[in-house]
Amino acid sequence: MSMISATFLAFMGIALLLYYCVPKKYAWYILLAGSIAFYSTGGVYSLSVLIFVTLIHYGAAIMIERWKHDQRKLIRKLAFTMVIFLDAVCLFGLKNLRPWMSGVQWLLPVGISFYMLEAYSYLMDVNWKRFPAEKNPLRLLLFLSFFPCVIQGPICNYREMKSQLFEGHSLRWEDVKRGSIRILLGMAKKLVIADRAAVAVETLTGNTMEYGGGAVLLVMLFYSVQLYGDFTGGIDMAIGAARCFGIVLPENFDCPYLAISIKDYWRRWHVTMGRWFSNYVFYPLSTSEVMGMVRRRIKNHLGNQAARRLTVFITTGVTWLLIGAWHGRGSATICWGFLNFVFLMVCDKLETRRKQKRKASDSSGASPWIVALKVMGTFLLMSALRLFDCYESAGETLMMLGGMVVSLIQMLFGIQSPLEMGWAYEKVLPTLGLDGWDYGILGVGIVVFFLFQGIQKKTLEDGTDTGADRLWSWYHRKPWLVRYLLVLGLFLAVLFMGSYGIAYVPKDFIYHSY
Amino acid sequence: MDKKNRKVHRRALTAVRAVAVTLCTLLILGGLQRLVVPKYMGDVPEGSMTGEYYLEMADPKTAQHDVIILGDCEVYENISTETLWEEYGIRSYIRGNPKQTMWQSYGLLQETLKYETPKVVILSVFAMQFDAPQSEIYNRMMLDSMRWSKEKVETIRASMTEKESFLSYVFPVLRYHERWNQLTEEDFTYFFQRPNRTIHGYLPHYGVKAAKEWPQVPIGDENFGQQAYEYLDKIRLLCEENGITLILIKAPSLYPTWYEGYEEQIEEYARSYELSYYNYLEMAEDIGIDYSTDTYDGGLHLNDEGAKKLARAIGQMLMEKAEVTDQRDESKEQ
Amino acid sequence: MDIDREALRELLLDLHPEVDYDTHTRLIEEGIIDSFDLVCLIGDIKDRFGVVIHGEEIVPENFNSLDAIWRLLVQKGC
Repeated sequence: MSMISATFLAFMGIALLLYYCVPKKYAWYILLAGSIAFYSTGGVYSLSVLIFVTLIHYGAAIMIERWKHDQRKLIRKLAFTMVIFLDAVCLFGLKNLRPWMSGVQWLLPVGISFYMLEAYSYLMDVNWKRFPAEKNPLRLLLFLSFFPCVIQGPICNYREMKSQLFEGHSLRWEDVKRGSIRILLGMAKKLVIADRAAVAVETLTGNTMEYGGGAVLLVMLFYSVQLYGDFTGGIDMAIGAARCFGIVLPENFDCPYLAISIKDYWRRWHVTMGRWFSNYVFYPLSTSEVMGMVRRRIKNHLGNQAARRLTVFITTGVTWLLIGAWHGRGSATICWGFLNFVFLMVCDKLETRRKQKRKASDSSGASPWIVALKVMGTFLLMSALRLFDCYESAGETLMMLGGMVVSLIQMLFGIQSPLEMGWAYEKVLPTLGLDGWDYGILGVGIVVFFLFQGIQKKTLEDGTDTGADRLWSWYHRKPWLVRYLLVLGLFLAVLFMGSYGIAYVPKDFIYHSY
Repeated sequence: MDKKNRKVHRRALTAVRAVAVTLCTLLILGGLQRLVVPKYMGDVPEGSMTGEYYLEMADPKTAQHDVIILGDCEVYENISTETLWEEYGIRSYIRGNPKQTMWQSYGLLQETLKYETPKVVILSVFAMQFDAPQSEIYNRMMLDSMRWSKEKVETIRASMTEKESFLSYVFPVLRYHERWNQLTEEDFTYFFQRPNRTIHGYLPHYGVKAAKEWPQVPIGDENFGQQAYEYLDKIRLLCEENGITLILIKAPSLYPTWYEGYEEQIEEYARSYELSYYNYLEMAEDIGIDYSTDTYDGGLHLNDEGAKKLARAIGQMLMEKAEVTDQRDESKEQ
Repeated sequence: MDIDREALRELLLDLHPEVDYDTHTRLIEEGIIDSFDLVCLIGDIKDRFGVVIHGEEIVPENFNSLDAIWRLLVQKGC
């Protein structure tokens, strides 16, 4: 079931009604039934895989807890390792097999790469005794299948979800209001912004022969806009939907395009994924016995400083290769992960050096111009890396990027470039399938969401509230008429400017030829 | 006491505000929806013909018809209702729409019977060749201006193509939302009321473009589909129940081709249910249609001259076979 | 085993000389100590005090302030 459909709205309505009508104790059964119903529209096969995964992790967690001090340690270890191994295969291998799976695409269950992360984290947390294993498999099933986040996240962990999911909530008007407005905001990002930019991206990447050189910069910009709208919009809808049930999901974005460095970016973009890889790959790996050994070896040969640097280097490298593999488009995403790793390391090195310098002459506070330059640089770098999503393969992406850089240099030196056409934006833009209105809407949309980010952005004095909290309290402080107009405006924007429905093209009237 | 009073007062104020805001929102949304729905007042006038019937019925002078004609452009461009009245005193109305299918004709007949019961229903059999939902755009043209009723719901369900959603008929804004930047003066001028563009459902054309040779591409299967027959049966039974004479016709449009197989099936159907069937395409010469002067688009449709000739033929037929009487004197007496 | 609080402060100052560790209680949440720093710190702690910190103990609450880290080490050291 798509989250942007009348069916989903009806589904939400019925689920909410039942949820708040039954006694609190049983409310989570409604969520479970709803989630199963929602997920089963993806097919019986997907559902059975989800249930199978739930049962395996349910059993493995109980087994680990019970047998922790058992004699049969070896068996336990073997079984546990098996489950972990299978998880890893599912997470990092399955999606990459897609090119060889033509015809059997349906074998990939919907949302598997998201709920497998949650299942794995549940199992590891039980193993680490962060909480006891769940006795009721249905509860685990609800955690994994919870419908707002089963398809594209946010990636939750069991500790933050279990109290919320199962305790039941009494109806609070504020929750429903806040949730619905969040859903509306997500729809606006998705339907008005992302789907519009998608048209341009599709045209640009569909014809790499024609759209080379400077057009690649356009792909970077349009795709950044598209992805931002699509992904943060989708997450907004998920968080909003959960909020309607009184459940607060973790935020997944924190003004990502205002990041001042790639390190900063990865603290702000897809936060719950970063958190997962930190907790379940990066830290365990860097504190593991193997890494300890490696560290000792390096230390003996190259000294302390090098040992520190190299351990970080190795663990970060492995983590990013896995993140690349998890994204699941074979060499393209692995290459993307690797490049992220390289730039992260460079960024870290630069920061360390700057810190050392600052020690000497402590100049507090950077000028806004420097910050703006850093934000723009980070944005361009991350947009360039994102190109691996857009083109067919890693090779093609590198070629297109190379073409852009070369043609730019040629132009700067006044040399005739074969890719010069791509820089003539006044000729390129009208061919992308968007008209003046579309560009206008995109422009206004970008400005509006940029302003929103200004409201959301954290300053040092802020407490623990999230960007969404700040946006909400900003909204809440406005007089009711302003609030009404804001919501109405958002609704009208979605209703009229959203890309949905059968396109109405009056030119289609070919009546007289019939 | 005072505190309590103030509390009640504030609550009442909130309630009033909520109601006012809701009403205001509905008004805005309704208004904007009405604005973006196409008005069909310009080059393409065929999109609000279903709705025109209500205007006709609202006027007591025109609220009664002896003959209702059902079909697509082969009737509403080819039969002059004006001539039927002026020369034969027959009060007729064409309930036709572009590419109107059998289930749409059935829905319109059902609806018509709620307003009046004609003596005769003339049904164009051209649409028998369509067994599945046809085109989204024509569906919208036929259904958007129809009043809500059980018949409308059923007709929508029967007509919808695969990609359409019922919801977009309930809220047309879901269909036409993209028109917000293509609005023209027409959308504002005809915001509240659209005038009739037809003469009792007849849409005259005045140009002349002589007929040309149309290709005759053979098709594999000339058999009518099950659904087409089902609705033809329904129309026939509905007429029987209401004591209406049902007459089948094929209009003299040269193209799309009316295949031999079609003709045989209709003749067979008419025979088995003792219906009258007139193929004016075959009789074109007899009724005086000259394809070099009586068509405006090369033989696809007749122009006003041609439509008058066909109306005369039909009027003659109605007077002879269906015992429809001249109403002109009666209306003068009144 | 005795854990020297001042020695721990030295390790932290080595990472971020500009931070006042006596007053700061949100080192992780504000991103002052990031994941790279953490990994370095954990290695340093192991070398200096011989205390091994496991992956599962790396939660913000354990590393948000000098005090929190010290408490974790004392707890583990015993």
